[in-house]
Amino acid sequence: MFAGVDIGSTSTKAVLMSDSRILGYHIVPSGSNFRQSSQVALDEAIKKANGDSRDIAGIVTTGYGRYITEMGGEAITEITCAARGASFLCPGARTILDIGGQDTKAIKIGKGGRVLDFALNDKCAAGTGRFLERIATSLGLGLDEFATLAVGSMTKLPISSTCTVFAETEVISRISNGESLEGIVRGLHSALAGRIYGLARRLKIQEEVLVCGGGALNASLIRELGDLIGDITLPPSGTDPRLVPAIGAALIAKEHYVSHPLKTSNLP
Amino acid sequence: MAEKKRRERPAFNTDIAAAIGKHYKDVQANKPMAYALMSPNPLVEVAYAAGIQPAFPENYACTCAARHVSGGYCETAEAYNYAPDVCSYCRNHLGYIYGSGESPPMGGIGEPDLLLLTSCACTHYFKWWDALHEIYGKPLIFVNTPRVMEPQSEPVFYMGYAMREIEQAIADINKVMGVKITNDKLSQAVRLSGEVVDYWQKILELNKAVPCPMDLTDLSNALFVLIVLVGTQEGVDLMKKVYDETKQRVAEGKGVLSKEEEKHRLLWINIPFWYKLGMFGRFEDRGCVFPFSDYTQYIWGTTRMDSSKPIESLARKALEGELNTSVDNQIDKLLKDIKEYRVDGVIAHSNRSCRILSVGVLDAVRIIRETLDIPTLVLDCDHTDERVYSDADIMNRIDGFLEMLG
Repeated sequence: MFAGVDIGSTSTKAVLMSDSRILGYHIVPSGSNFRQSSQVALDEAIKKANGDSRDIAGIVTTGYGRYITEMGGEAITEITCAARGASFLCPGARTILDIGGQDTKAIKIGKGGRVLDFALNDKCAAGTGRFLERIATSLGLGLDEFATLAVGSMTKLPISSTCTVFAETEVISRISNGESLEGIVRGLHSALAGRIYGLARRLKIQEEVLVCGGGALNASLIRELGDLIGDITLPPSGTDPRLVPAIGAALIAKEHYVSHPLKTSNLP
Repeated sequence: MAEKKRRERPAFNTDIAAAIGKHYKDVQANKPMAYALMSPNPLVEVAYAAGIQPAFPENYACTCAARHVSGGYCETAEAYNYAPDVCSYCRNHLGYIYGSGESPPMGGIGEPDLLLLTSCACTHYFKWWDALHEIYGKPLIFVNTPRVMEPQSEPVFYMGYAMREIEQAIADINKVMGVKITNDKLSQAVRLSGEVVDYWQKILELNKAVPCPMDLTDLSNALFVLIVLVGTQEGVDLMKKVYDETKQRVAEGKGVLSKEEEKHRLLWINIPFWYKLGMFGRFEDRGCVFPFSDYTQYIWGTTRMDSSKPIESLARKALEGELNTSVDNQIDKLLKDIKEYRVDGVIAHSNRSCRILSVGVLDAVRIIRETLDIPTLVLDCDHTDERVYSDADIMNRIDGFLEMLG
């Protein structure tokens, strides 16, 4: 079997695959000790797969923490891994929007998940999942509750998407003016969707558009994105959208093992 | 991820490093000394002809960035109400002036006796030079040149206007500094400047070779000669060394990478990150070289000089630089050179505090991608202000781009 471990800013995801089948996976918060969180995620995934670490023939690490883990194997960016994973889950996908905690990626891919072009949000939280997380936290709401509030809203109050901190100030100001919380929260989702749409347009959006990452779990964000982009595809039901880069990493580990069997995993 | 050890650089880099050291000693020792705008400034040759030592605050900012002190200088300038989106060359220099510590890099660039400004660069440099005029209370000589949108259809009166501006500047320098710039001295400075340019043009031609004999770091180092030493015999001797070694390397088939190692030839658009030139080692480790950049190719050393027509040559220099022409003209040159240098990937720096080189970058990248079908990457950063640089973000984008190149 082959492992893909995606050490992201918010969560660490480990996936084990064999014969293009997911045998097991696990997601843990990344915290501040990436070595520990990636090891825990992998160990738990192995348990769920009823496997043994010695059965892992190859491993690829990805995400911002890909270099600091001591798992061995190859470090490949989540851009390449997300493209590969997305193409595996949705072969018709040509534009990938991977909405993560720290960054949002728009990736244009060809057949087989070859990356043709990509764009990442600039150095600002306003175009990422952190935008919603931060404001939800300041309002004392959980992310799920936050998204649900927006889904139910018929109104959409415009919120500036230039800066997370300024948006937060705007939210507080609107609340103190007695404006509808649901409308404000929907406006926030709409603002984030607008930023993501702007990023994707740099690549000239091509159908099919697959949305993955933690952002794909937010129904309100998906609705707002759909209003801007049109048809949106999500990973198949039963596949957590956060796993897409880790799935791609496991697939690449297998491909590299096949082409260079002696160069892959350093695992015992 | 740590960058691997750089490969052996061409030997001329050591000579250029020595010349840089000497230049800063000259700036501190020689009088009179003038601050000169670095961008293709026709008054550099005039200064040398007048026996005035030029110093270059922009070039000094590159040195400060390489020594990792620019962030602090920029912060000081911001405390004096220069906004973070003001050019970081400017903020670096003003921060150095206002808050220079006990040991500025290379001993600093002293206090000028004269300020030499030209319009063929960024417009907000006027305000920078205004500030310098106010701080030091020294005469400011300004050469205004019309903006040339399309060189092939440049109105005929532009040349006459630019020549009159330079003639007036020479008269003003003679008057305020009590010097006498003779035609002989000016012709000699222009002749020496022309020799530097001639060598440079041959070097750029040599860099089309596979494997590429010089990388962007080497080209950037050689820019020092082209900017600071134009109009001097020292500059000619140094550029000849660069040329001779490059020619030798091409003859021997010696490149930054070997022919077998050289997998990709990339174009870098805009100013490099002066505080992070070591990053090019990461590209070399992945089989990539940068045979040219718009910054090293189109701004300086583009004008053939004729010492029998010194004023006309200097006027042409001021009119022709990339910063004085249209974005369309720049894109046309890029499309041509990408083919000639066999470039198969483009990295563009969208430079937060250098708008003149960044407005149009996204369009240039789009047009290159659509016209030539080669991969591109845009990096948002800054040329001098290291505080803007985020290693994880930049390297993640670069790694993704290199994976895309294959």
